[in-house]
Amino acid sequence: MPMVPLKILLVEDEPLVALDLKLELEQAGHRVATATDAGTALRACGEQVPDLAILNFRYANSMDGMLLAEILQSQYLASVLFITGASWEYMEESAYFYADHSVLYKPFTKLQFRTAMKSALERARK
Amino acid sequence: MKPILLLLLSIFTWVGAIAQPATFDSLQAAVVRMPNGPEKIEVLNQLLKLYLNSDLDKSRSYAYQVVDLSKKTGNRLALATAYKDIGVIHLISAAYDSAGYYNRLALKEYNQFLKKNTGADLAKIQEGYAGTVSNIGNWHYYQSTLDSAVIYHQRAVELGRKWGADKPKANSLSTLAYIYLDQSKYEQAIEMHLEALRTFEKMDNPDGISRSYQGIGEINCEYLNKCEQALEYYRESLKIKKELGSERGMAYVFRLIGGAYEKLSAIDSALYYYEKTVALAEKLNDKRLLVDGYSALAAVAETLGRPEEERLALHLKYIGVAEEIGRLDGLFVGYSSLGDIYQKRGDFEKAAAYYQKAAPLAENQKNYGFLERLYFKQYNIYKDHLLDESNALAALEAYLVNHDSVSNAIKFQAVEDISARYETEKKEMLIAEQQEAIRQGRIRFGLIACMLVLAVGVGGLLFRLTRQLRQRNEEKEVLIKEIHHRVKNNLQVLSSLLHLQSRYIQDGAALDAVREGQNRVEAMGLIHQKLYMGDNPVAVEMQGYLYQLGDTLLDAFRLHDDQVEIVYHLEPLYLDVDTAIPMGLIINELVANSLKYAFPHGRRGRVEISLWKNPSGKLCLKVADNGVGKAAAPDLKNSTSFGTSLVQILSKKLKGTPQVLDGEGYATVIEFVNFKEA
Repeated sequence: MPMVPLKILLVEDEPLVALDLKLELEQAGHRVATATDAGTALRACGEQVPDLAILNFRYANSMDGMLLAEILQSQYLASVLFITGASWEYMEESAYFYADHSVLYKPFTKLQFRTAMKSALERARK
Repeated sequence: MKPILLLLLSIFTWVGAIAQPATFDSLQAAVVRMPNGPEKIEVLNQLLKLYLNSDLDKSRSYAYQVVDLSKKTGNRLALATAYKDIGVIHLISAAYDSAGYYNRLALKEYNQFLKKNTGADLAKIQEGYAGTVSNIGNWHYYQSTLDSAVIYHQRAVELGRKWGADKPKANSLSTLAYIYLDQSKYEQAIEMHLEALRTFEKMDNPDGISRSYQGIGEINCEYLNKCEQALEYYRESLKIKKELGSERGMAYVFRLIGGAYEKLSAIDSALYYYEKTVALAEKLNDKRLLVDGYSALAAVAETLGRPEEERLALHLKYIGVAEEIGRLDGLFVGYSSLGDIYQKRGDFEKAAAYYQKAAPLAENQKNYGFLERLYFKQYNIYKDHLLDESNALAALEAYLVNHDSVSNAIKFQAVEDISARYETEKKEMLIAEQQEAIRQGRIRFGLIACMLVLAVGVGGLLFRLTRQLRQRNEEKEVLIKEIHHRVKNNLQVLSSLLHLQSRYIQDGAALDAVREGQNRVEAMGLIHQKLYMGDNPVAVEMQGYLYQLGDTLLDAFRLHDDQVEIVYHLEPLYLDVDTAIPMGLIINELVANSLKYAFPHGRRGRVEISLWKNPSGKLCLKVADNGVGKAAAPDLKNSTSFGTSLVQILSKKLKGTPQVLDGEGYATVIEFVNFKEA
């Protein structure tokens, strides 16, 4: 069946993980822009408005991922998938976790990534 | 379609179920006269639960009164409970944004209490907290974000077991059962129902018991085709609902009974029960149930070939309510039927409009066969009746595109199959010819082994460090979080590293070796992902872990459930991370071994994973397949030598000796003496 390729913004400061996910997504036919922090991410949006953003909760010396998510959602109507190395307990303490985002916990398997992407993409298409 | 969603509606119905109308009145009269204080809150809470099944507006208004009063009197626990209840009420009314908001508020309130650990109310707080986590699971479930729903419900079950909070535990267990059912994991679904039933019986909770009956009945009828048997379960359930006076519950069971009769081709009986469902749903103003009821009635009316007027009215009612609450998943059938009716009546404008509404929904549901017919009907209408050439052409094009992509998908699959077979043959020849290359590959095996040992070492070291730190000082908790964070990040990097490396490898044997390494890292990674670090010791819940490991391996070997199925026989077990890591790796090797060698050339079969404690206190693991067996798998000897020695080495660590069983297929049993539960 025909798949609609989406524009995806991947903001990940770990270069190997970023490259791996980028290649994986491009193989699935999507257009992927990458950034390593919130500043470059917002600049990248100027060139290509993303349908879906993949974010961390924290970036070193940069805007926090949650705020970035709010900006991307309100200005560009992008839907958001978070990937995080934080643990359950830490997440439960922060109420913002329960906003309407998908969260994928590191270390995740390729299967889990594809499953999470599938539901995130479905939401992005709505 | 998810009619089963409705089952979750009665979240705490049993509290209110005992009440008679007389109690309602006297309570309502009493509450007005009561002075502000804990007793008044108690009575308001009673009232809100009493009305939860019959009048959501009233229930909601009592809940807001509790919020008000508990704020005024500074009763934070009552406030948290009220937030939680409002979350449930909104969820039932399908107001998801509001439900999510109040769930968050409740969780925040409970969290503050949990940290303070106040003695007297601790059990209540723990139950409230676990209950809210369970509600959030439901919230995800209602919106079909199933992966999140599973995580929250598993979490609620874990918390429930740990704290002895039976109510959220049992509720989450039954929801998990329904999710597993959605994923066609029938055995796991039944397991969850049975544990839920035991918990409900222990709690003496008739509502829960009846829900479990319904669940077991549904699996029997919908999936195992034993509808007669299911009817018995439903009747038991109905009896309980009647005794409880829960009209919402009864309406739901009526729908189930109707469904069972419909499957048994007793259409008259089905019709009778569907009508009862709709009547009750209208009385209760329960829109979700109403959608299910009307949709069932409309379908039966079509089957029976009822008069056009009647069918039209039913479809319109069904569509009206479904649109109102946004339940669009099955609606394309309704739209299309309506289109058919209008076409017969000669109202072609309307017919075309409904067909057009149906198309995107059918596409969403990936029902391409239906879509094809739909486009064709549109084409005919535009061409023959509306004489609208441009729209006719558009419909025809859509029809052709869809038709081509469906048949292309089939062709593509065939080409893929052939090329896969070709690739396999090529690979086998390469392996035979290139003994040299394989020897070189061994060096890479060694490299990966080193990486693994390093990762296990680093992981183990960091966790030991973790535990010492926590004992010393609470302040250092932040640091521990940071360390866990890094371990997880590093494991992710390791996984990505191997994945990237595999993109650059041409040699078949070397590629296999790297992929095996990848599987091992993912097997360890899943443990770290699921690790619960709230208490000393660091615990891994094995059931959930192994389900995911199994799915991951099936995916890695590109096997579908319908070719090879993994069956689990697992006792509920929490293992210390030091035991869980070698155990996970051992199971990974054994299952991977079966998946790789036991089912060549599309052979069908299953792999069984069993984990249990025997009477003498040993931890027993069995991995068995019904594949071609040892003798028939010639590749087994050379290629798995590393995997086999890995199993040996890791078993030694847990003081166990792998034994290969005789019989068909390939089966290994290991009894471990040295293991640690958490």
